[in-house]
Amino acid sequence: MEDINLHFTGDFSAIEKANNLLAALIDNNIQSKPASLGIDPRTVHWKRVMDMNDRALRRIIIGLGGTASGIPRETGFDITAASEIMAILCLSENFHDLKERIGNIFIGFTLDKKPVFARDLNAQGAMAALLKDAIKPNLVQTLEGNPAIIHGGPFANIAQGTNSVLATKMGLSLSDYVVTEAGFGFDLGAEKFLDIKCVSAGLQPQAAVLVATVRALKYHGGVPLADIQKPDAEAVARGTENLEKHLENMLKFNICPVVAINHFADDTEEEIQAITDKCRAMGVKCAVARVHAHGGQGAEELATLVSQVAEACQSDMTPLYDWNWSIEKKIETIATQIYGASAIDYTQQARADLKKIQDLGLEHLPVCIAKTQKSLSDNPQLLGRPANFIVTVREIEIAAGAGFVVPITGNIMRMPGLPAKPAAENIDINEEGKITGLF
Amino acid sequence: MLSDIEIAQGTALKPIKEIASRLRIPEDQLEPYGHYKAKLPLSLIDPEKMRGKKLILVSAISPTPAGEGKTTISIGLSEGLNRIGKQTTVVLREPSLGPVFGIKGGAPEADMHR
Repeated sequence: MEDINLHFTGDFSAIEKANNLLAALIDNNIQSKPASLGIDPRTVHWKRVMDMNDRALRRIIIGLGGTASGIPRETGFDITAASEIMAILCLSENFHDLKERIGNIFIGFTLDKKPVFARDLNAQGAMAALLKDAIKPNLVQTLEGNPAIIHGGPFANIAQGTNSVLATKMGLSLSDYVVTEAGFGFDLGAEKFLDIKCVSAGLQPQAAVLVATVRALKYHGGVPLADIQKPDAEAVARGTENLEKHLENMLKFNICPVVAINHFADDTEEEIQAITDKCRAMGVKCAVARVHAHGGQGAEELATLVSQVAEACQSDMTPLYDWNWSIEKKIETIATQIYGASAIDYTQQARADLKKIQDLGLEHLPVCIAKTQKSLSDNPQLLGRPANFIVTVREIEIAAGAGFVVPITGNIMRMPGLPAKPAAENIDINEEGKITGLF
Repeated sequence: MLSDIEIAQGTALKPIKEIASRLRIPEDQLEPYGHYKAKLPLSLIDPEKMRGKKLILVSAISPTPAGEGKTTISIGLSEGLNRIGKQTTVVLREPSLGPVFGIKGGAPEADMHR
């Protein structure tokens, strides 16, 4: 466990290096007279990254120290997982594809308003070389000694939020079943998994498991966190409207759903019943998994159900939208169909970004909407199944290398901070090299 | 009650070669990183072998501070499928290092693996 949580096989370090090489090449070009592309430093969005929660690096001024030390400009650090290189690595099929995607990274504009891409700096070869080993999926094992492949970790809001395409294909090449996970709720990670990753890589899920807990549904049903362990089957029933909307969304993709109730010791029969009743009413199969208490044995009933559903599943997954639609139509389709919004509003900035995307000829890219994970809407306070709300698109970022655009509907944290009492204070190592204090 | 790391450290790990041989990976193609981790060369990906295989996506309801447990279920489901005789690999994201020093749940957790 400490091996996975600390450094692992060095993939994040390699991604960090590739990302920061591009940053160095950009600032070098801004500095260099003979090779200058005429980049306008004010239009450069590419940031450096570091795999550390360090809020002091969010906004910095670089290039101080006189003419030999660069042109001063404002920039910042993101955490490595937020790098576009992470998203690129996780969608790449091979080195050729990797280099092409890296070359397509949009950097900014020249002073005479021409777009600049990473390929204009001849960055793609060296950046891909730094990713030589990081592109290979990592094999480890589960507690019960079964194979696990762990590879890539992009965000589920500003990026696609699932492990690499290559890891999924590796798993499917080596075993009969692959179980994989998409970040946050179905509206965020799974929508992107299906509309971006599956379409890009030609993948098809044969079953989709929606995880719910009694306590989370109670929370959606209006119970405050402090009372979450008190039995309240009615609150669970109220909260199932959130589950219901996610199930409706799954059916829109024409995939075969299963609900997994992740069982906790304080769940009551009546509370479980409230969930199974909702599933039955919707014609969706459901199983209780007692993984906390019994490990894999506690998941045998779920496993049997999932394998039955996967083997009987006849339908082909249909993406929600066609990549060739306009950016606005794609955003509107996701927001109304999946989130349940009544309308979309664009800020002036977002309208300007739409025009920029059109001018750059990138309208064919899929959309990767960055939205709060806490609500189906763009307002984190609205639990359950919100209705009659408007989604506001504030700006639209371009991730031309990864191959999508990112409509932003809220505040996105790309460089987290540490809490007042960081977990680091409890981590230690003894003379035998044994690590303690990791959770 | 044991913490996740105590459970992980108390479990005897198999050499990664043994895990790889169960997946019929030729030993000369495995790229071990120490005893319990390995890199897999891309040449092992074979579209022919992917045909007819089952891909299971695990997702969740809207996350709450009360917790849902997607990773727990993903790993548990893969253990359960292996137990009922379906040869299964769980495929997950790598955790970020930054949140390890902050608070729990800040990154995709790999809480049952080493």
